[in-house]
Amino acid sequence: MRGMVKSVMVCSVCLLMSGLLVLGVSPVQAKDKTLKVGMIMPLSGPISIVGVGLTRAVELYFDKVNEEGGLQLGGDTYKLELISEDSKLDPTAGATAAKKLVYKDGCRFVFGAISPPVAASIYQVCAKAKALHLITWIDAPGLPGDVSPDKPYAVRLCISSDSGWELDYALLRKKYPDAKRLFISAPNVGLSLERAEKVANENGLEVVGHEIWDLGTQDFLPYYTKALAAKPDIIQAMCSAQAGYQLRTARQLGYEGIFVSDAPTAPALILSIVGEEGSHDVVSNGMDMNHPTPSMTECVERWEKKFNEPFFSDAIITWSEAEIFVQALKKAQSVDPEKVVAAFDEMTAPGSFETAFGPGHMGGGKRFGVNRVIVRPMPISLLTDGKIEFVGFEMPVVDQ
Amino acid sequence: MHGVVMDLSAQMIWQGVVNGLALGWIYVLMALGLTLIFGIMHIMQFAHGEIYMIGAYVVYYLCSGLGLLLVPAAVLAMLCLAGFGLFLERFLFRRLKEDWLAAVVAALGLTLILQSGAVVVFGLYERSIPVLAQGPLNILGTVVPKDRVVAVAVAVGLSSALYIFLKTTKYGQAMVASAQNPEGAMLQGIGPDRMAALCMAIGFALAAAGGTLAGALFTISPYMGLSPLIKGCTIIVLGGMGSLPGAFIAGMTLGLIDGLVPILFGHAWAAIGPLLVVILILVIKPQGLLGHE
Amino acid sequence: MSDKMGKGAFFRAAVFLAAIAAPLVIGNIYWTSALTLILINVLLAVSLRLIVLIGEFSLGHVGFMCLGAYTSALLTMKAGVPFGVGVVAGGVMASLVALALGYPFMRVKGIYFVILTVMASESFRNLALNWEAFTGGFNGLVGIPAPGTLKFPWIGDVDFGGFIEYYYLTLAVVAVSLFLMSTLEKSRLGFTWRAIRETDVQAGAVGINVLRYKVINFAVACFFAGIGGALLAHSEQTISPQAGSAFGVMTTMYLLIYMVVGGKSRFSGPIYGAVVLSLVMEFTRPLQQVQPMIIGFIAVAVVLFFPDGMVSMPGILRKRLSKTQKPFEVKAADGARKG
Repeated sequence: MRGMVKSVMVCSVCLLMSGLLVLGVSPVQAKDKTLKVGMIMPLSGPISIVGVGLTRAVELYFDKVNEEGGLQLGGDTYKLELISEDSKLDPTAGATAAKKLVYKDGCRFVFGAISPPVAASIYQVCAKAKALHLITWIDAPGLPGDVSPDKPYAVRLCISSDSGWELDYALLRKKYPDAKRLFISAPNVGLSLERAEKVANENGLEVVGHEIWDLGTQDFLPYYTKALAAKPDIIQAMCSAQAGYQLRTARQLGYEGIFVSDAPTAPALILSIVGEEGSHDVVSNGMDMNHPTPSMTECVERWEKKFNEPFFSDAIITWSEAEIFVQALKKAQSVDPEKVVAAFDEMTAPGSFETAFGPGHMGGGKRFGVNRVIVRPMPISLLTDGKIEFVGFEMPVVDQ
Repeated sequence: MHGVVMDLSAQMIWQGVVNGLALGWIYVLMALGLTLIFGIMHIMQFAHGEIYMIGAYVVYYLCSGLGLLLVPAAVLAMLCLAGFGLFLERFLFRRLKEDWLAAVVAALGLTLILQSGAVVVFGLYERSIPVLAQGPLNILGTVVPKDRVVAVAVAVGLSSALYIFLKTTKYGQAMVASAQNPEGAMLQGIGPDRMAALCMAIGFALAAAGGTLAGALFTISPYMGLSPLIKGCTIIVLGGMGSLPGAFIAGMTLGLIDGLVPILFGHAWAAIGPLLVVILILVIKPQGLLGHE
Repeated sequence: MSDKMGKGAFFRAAVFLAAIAAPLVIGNIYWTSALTLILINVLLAVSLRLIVLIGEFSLGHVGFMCLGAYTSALLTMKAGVPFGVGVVAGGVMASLVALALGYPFMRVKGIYFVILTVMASESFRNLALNWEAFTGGFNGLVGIPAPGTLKFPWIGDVDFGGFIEYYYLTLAVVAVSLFLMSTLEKSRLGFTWRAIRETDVQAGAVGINVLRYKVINFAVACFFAGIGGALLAHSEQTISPQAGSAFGVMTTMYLLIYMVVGGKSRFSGPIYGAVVLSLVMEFTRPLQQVQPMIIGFIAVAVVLFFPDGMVSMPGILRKRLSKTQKPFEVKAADGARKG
């Protein structure tokens, strides 16, 4: 009996191997004029929900373009195909994924990633292959994965959450004129706390302390214990998708003051984690999905139709990145990466792009030396007495 | 980058201690299961972290899907995972009794299966289960979140129950004897396979409880099991393999370190501090604090 | 015996030739770089097995990879050291640390040792993560230089930074390393190691300083882990100490699985395991989320049904097909089982 089991095992393993071989080496079906775009996101691991969500949004936008007949570029019609790979939050895996996309699948445009080191390693591969790297997210500007004059193949299509600081501090000044003491809780990703302090001071706020925590932290109690010891009026959770958990911890320790979250994490998510009682005096740069723009509405509708899961609101960021990308392609009237970069370089006038957040343009020239960063409106929402209040959109200052 | 130096008041340190002890109890639940399983079956159950995670998810589904309250859901989850433990012991680990490297690899394979299975079945969204309690509590002048206190109470309760079981019942005493000396159990008339099944069931139930508590305090995700597993392994090595009081002391020690180091020394040392302490202790006393050869 | 060795040598030569021809035949840059990574996996898996020879195993191999990678990367980036020196320095650094840690670690047995190795490797990774000034901290190192150009007598200039060239470079390094390890295993040193595994106490009674040999074994295995790490660093030209990275606990789990699935009793076992499972991982890329599950199932299945790994499969198949039962197993003269 045991021997038979063994034979079955051997046979199934062999079948599995042959099946995999067939799957792996089957040639890609050549369609007429497909533009292959790669995307590298953490599809597994602790922030896979973000990675998957962001990937889906681009996929949905490409679906929309294809349904409307594809892209007319330079006399040819292109269908857009998104090939997604897993970065596993590891630059080494990211580099391998980039090599596959660029050399095996023949992508000349690659979106990615969430973690700056992964973005940097993707760029190395793209530059060598003369493919355009569309930086999808950056925790803080100027990090290795970001744009720079000596990177001809990198364009950033997202706003970093630190661009919200001017907006948030100014709002605090107006709404809470007596609140002066600011405490900052930031992840260990290289954010410029000096810049934060400068902007805070300009708005009459005093930074009374900061705590740095490592990515993967689930228990914020020690950090907030120290935070509360400094008796702040305002606590800012920088660049954190776990702003909700941070606020919950603060409230559990008895903190009743103001809370700021500059990440795109939706206020609705914060509300669901903290509960109505604790959701007061919160400023968030996330989108209030009760006031979506028409483009956002379309994104949500498509998501709900295609995927059987609730909408993950961070996804509108990459939906708008896809919008920007397609508009640049149209302007360039070409699928040659160098021509597309040239098109980006030209679109610096306000209103050059129509994004889900409002009109945008390429900027950042003063800060980075090249205008390769998108400047488009950021949402500001409030949580007041357990309810979400949408303040509106404001243009951030990307060139500081 | 170092946090701005503040008055490290006694209050803050006390708060760190309280928080550390609360964390320590959850680790202890993991460690007790691991040390039982190791002490009696002599295998390292590396998939324990995933059991912890699945326990939390089972509670989530029972609460949100069937509308059960937290406590009955948790009890059901513990029974469920205990049953799973019996199943695994019978069909997987019993076959690998001889070869402990094979058992380790099987456990690792199990980890991969359970973890990716969880992603496929449960999805990637972080879930929440009903909180244990809301709001702060004032203990001797220190503010402590109420839910941590409840978590400690539950963990203490479970550990005490285990203690009573081991001290007073026939099976329990046999298990203790078996951990010291495998033949001892047989003299009591209980076969090693029965013993193995029982300790797996208990260990899994404890892990499920730990996962439920952690899920209620923090959040549930398919990847939540890896870190507690490493903490659990660290604890049983520190406390001495197979020693239950050792697991307890080491668990509290590690919890205290985790609670105090971030406050005193910042995040950089928070990760590396416990590792260095443990390595140091083991170098001095290789069998662990209360272990035996 | 000699006939079997003859067949074995022929087989090995054939494999080696296939390895040389592979990138040229497949002709795709991506596959060349994938094969490079597979070669590195082979090196890591085989060096992991070295530790099994003394009856222990390590779950901390990635920590030493990390040491080797960072050493080589920092030397070549900051001090302008040439590639070859950097890689060897990486291996040396890893083995020195292994020597230092080996003495206290090897005093403990079995599972204690395993957990100590895990903790050590996590410590190294956290050190790299937090020692920002030196290692670039969280962001890791980007732009690690590729090996430079070498002048060859009649081929001319060869730029080893190119994909195919780097593959051959890696192949050469791995082949030499495998040869070294295989020689060591068959030597007197290897014999002593195996004696220690079979019976720790008795080896000590015969006057062998058991601890010293165990530590040497550990240092040698970690030397090759360091080399593997350095090769990886220069191949992808970027390394990072984050938890999910190549230097995290998951990689070490996979390495152990490669080794055991391949077969720990034979030198060629981990080679098969690493190659086959790496290929499986590569081909299952489209099934991203289920990928770990597939490896997990293979691991559990192999451990249950083919405890000696893939290398034992042909033997078992042959026995099944021939249907003759040997009355009892013949053991070799020295009492140890062959393999």
